Amino acid sequence: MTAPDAQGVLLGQVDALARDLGRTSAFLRNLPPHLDRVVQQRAVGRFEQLLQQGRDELDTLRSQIEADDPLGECWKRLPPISMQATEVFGEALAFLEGALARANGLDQNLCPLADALLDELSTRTGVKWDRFTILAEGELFRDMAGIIRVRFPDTTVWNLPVVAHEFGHYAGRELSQRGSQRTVHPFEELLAREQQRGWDTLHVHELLADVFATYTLGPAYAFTGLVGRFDPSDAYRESPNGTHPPAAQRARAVLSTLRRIEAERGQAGAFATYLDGLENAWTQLLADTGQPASLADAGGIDAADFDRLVGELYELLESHLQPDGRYGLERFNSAQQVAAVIRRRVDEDGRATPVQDDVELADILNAGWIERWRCWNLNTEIGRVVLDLARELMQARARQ
Amino acid sequence: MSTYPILRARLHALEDQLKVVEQSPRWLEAMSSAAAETEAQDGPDATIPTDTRIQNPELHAGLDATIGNEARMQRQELDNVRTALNNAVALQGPQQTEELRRAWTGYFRVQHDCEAIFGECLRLLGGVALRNQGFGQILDNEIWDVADELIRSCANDSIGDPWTSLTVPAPREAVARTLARMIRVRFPAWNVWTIPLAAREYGHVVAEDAPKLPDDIAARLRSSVEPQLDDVVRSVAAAHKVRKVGRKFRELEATARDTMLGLEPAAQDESHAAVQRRVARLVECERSCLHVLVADAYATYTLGVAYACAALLLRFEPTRSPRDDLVSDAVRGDVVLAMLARMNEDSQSRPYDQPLKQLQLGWDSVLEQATADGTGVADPARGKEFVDWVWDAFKRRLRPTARYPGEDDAEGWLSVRRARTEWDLTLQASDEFGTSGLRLRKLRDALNAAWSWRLENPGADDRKIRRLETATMKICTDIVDDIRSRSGARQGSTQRPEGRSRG
Repeated sequence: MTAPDAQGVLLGQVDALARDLGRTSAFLRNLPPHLDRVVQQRAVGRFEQLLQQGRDELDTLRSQIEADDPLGECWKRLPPISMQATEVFGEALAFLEGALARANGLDQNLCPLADALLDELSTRTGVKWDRFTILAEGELFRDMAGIIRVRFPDTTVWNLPVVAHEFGHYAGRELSQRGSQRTVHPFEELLAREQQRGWDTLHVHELLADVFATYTLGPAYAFTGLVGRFDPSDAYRESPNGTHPPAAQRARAVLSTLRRIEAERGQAGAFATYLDGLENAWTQLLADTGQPASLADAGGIDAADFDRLVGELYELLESHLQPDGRYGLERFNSAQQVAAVIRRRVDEDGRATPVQDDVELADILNAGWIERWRCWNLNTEIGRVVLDLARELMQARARQ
Repeated sequence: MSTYPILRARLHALEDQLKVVEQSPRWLEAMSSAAAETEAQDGPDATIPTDTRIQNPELHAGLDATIGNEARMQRQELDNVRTALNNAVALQGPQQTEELRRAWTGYFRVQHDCEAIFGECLRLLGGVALRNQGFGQILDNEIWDVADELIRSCANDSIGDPWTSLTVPAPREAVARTLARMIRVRFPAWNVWTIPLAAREYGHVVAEDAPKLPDDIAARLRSSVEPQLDDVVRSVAAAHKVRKVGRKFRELEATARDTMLGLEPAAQDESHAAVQRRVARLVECERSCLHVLVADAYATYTLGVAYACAALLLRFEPTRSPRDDLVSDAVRGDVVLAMLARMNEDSQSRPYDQPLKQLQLGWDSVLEQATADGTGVADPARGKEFVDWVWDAFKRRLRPTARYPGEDDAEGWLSVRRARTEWDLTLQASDEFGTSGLRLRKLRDALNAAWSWRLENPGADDRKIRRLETATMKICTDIVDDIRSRSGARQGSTQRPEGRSRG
């Protein structure tokens, strides 16, 4: 009786995995023609590199098996390759499904706006970005394929600032400076220092992303986080999987970033009464849900050391991003003018009042929040006008 | 400032999201229409037979009954939160604070529960979008028909319920039944060799939906968790300086027991909360392990050698650390083999003697090489004990037709043996695997025929394996056509058109 042996089974698994890698490449080479061209251009090459790497590793393993390398060792070499391949397959599937869902309109056309916002942030900050967004179960940036995920089905403009947070994860890794001998990655160095001080590395990553999103989007991100997303009822506990710091820490990082911007030269009062309003709202949310009013009251961490950490993250951005990266007084003034346009459009039932030429998506998002903050009961109407303005801006840019 | 408008806005936003999800059957229709429009613009894609696009009214109804229903229930919960919020407005002082807190807590509970619904909905719609595409003849759309029909027959044979969901591509295998009872097929590994693995995914549905089987599993879960409670309580007591004699220790023991039974006792202090957290984690982990093994056992029980081969020869990697930190592939391999052995012993003619020996030899050889340094070592005795328990549960809770027939003349292993004899003849005559006159009535028989040939010919070259794959695919699509035409004749539904591309 013949039976499969350990070598035959291993070769069978190697071949099956190689076949899967080949099939994935074939999928990506044969994307449906109606998929967004930008999506196609920005993703396929990156995936192909990863898939080729997997094929090369499998070729090497196959040669080792056939050359009668110790079989036990060969068996041990398969899991790392197959686990990496599984990650690539997962990303490729997320890309294919997300792109198709996007092409089928499940994103309610939010993803192109998210892409435009990220392109805008990239231009302003100098952090090079040539990737794109897809729909997913939750917001996430995965380094492997460099895709930012937008949470389904929260496809309203109010959710858009969250992509700036995800971009912050990417930006942190991209920050670098040339030293005399080598390229230095200051965020990596900061992470190492803070880990020694007892700060959780994952939490520092998240805090940098919060500081980045606030620094580059201004109050729009603060509104989205504090008013729309963070959980005040469990404000002093990290997320269940431990990846995110407590909401109270994140809120403090966000508010502190806005205060630091206002403390810069020529930026005094940049965010008018909105910053105080946000701070009061967060304090009231904590009170309404029976939570301690501040980090100091809640205990657990050294609030002064936390503020120092946020200060370091802020300084990191201040010294490594382009000056235009910071969302300050000038831009927020522009946002307030756009807010007036939104008000007129809502009042005049959608009649097209134009906005100035130099407006950016970040201004429109801030303007939307200014108006929403002023008049909560017109939430839907304001959201619609903000969406219209954002699309008009994209169309105008496309014409240029 | 008042935070009422903030909570109202959040309620409104979540409600809007639930409405989107509630409309998922409409999204399915819209996506099918969009695919048809694209075809009109880009020219017809021969790889997408029109009838394979997802337009099944049963699916729409199934989706509405699972995801849609869950979304409606959550909207009802949001209404309750809104009522609590409105009540709070009319109150004052501590009563108002308490009502407001209740509203916020209720909102976050709904939001948390909605995450699973939203994820499931997107996975389903994304999977459908992928299935609707041809990808220039790479995506074997017919394999989805085969997978769907295989699961439909598993459902009918095992619990008698109609299965109204879909098989969809997924990044990894599931560790539990999904809300919409979707069956995940690992991307991009879908072909006749891996399709048997879909039955394992249906095993999660069986574990939760077969009448009374969940009770058996819950009892088994308790019996595996209970002996570990003492360690948990002692370790928490030590950390919180609670003496091992005394009332407090006994209270912690009661909390541990209640948590295991899912009674959610109110945490009196941090030590009770710590016991609750640790026991809940323990229960969750044991439950997931149990479900994974039940699913493996079920897939072997219902597909026989085909599942055992797909799992042991193609999927399980004994050197890999346990998937999802749950259970190692070495342990899973033992369970699969123990189940096949049990099926063999239970039949007078010992139908699986030969494939069982071959698989056991092969697996032993793999384990000997892969676990030489002691990693991933399994315990066959534990596998056997588990199978003794699950065998009994399956016999009592599943329909007799769930089990892969070993001695039935019309179908099952005997039909596989006949088909194999026929293949020997066609291979001798024309070096081809015949696809007609094999009298294979069921998909699981076709898959078993293919795997048993491959198992007995481990040295077969790649070209021959591909020819066998193509022939098996043809046999499977013929069976699907036959099943659908028969059910169409009964129900007056549309038959699949003739002359479309195959395999």
